[in-house]
Amino acid sequence: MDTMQTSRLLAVCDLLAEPATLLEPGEVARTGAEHIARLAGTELGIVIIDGPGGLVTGAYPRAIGRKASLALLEVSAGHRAGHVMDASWLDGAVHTDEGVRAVHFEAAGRFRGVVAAVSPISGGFTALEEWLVIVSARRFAAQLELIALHQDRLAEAQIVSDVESASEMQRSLLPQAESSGHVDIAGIVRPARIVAGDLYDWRVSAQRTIAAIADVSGKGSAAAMMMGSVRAAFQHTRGSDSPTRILTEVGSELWPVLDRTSRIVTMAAATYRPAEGSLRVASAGHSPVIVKQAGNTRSIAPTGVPFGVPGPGPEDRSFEFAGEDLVVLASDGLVEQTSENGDQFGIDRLLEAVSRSSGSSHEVARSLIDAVDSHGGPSPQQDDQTVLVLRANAAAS
Amino acid sequence: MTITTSKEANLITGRMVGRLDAHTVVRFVTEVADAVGPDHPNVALHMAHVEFIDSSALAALVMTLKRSLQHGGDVMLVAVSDPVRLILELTRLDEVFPRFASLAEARAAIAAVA
Repeated sequence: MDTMQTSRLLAVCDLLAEPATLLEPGEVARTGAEHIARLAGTELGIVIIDGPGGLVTGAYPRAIGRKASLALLEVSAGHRAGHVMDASWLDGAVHTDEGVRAVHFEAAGRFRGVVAAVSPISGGFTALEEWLVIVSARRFAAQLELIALHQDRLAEAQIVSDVESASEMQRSLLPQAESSGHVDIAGIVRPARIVAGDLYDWRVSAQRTIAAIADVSGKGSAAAMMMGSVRAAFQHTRGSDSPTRILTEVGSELWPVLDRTSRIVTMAAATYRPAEGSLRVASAGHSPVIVKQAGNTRSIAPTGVPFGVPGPGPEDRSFEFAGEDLVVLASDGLVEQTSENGDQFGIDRLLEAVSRSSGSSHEVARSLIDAVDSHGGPSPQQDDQTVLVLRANAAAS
Repeated sequence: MTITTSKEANLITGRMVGRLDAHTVVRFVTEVADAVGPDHPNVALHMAHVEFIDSSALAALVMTLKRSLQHGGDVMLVAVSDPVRLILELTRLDEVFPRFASLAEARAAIAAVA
């Protein structure tokens, strides 16, 4: 075996020994240029790759100028990928007068490149050498496909990480369960995806407690972002004993953005005055709203349309509220959860679960979620599930 | 979800079969909501075979309604199935969309207003 053949064989062995995964187009270009020079037996090997990160050039054993790189890439792009073109016109630019063979390649819909073997040491290109250039181009394309896959995985992981941060943020904005002398209030949110388009919130003062639940149309990050605006609007409503007044203020504030984004928001609110033992409830298109009072459990129909819809507004419904009476504001994700055979949990089961419930607000909220989970069984959770329970503490009466 | 639409004088009719939810609502928007305009301000939607409707779909119906109202028309729901009727009642949207038992009745209502 002569020196040239030995050299070529060693080049093939080195190529095979190279790790299959390179992480960057630059690495493909740099290592590729050396492989080409050795495999094709030329004085110069060039690999040029253009992609989302910009243009990279590998040239071995000496560098070539950026202008020559661009020219070679542009001309090669006019030729069919994978086929050898005679780029000897490039001789002057790469300082040689003995021949260039180049092959264009593309990968993953985002990379394109060219591999060029310049100035054969033996004086001319044989069919074998041209074939080696073609095969190398295929290999570089395969390496770039793997790099593209890796880039996509990183991008996805970044998105998931962002959404998980958003989810933590959402959870930290929810009020913690409180049980003071007059009121015991707790809530649970279970997003269907990582972030929820549902929310509950409340404000407790000595004179009154105001609690609310809202549901933005749609699911996921977009709905969750809208919910941030809903929460802010609720937080800065003026304190009022009338939940209708509170809802009307929130609705007016949200109207322009709901109109622009073609979304609707359902919302229900309850105000409780411990001193008078009175509860008022109003709903803008939101269900279910359940009041358990003096042993009687019933569902309260909304009187108003959701925010973002032209139509009648909500109205207050009043109840005496004392002892261990409770009001449950829940999202329709509980009622609509289906079991394996497609049977919805439904309002009747929810009313029954509320009627049977006992214990603190947190325990009641938990028991409702557990009842929905038992019903759902192995079926995946279909929608955000949120429940808020407000109980008049026995201490209040 | 399958949706068949047709255009008549000043009215778009749509017949929908299946689930109207976040996945299928895009087709509803391009074929019905986007077609509402000064020449076709009214929409009549046949919903006897819509087995499920979610909040994204309700929001799309509301958007269609607002466009219709802007052009002096209305969105009418025809032969609404039980699941859809229930959701409309639970959200109070039953007060917002006129409902009819048949497309013929919906057409008659439009003619009466004109």
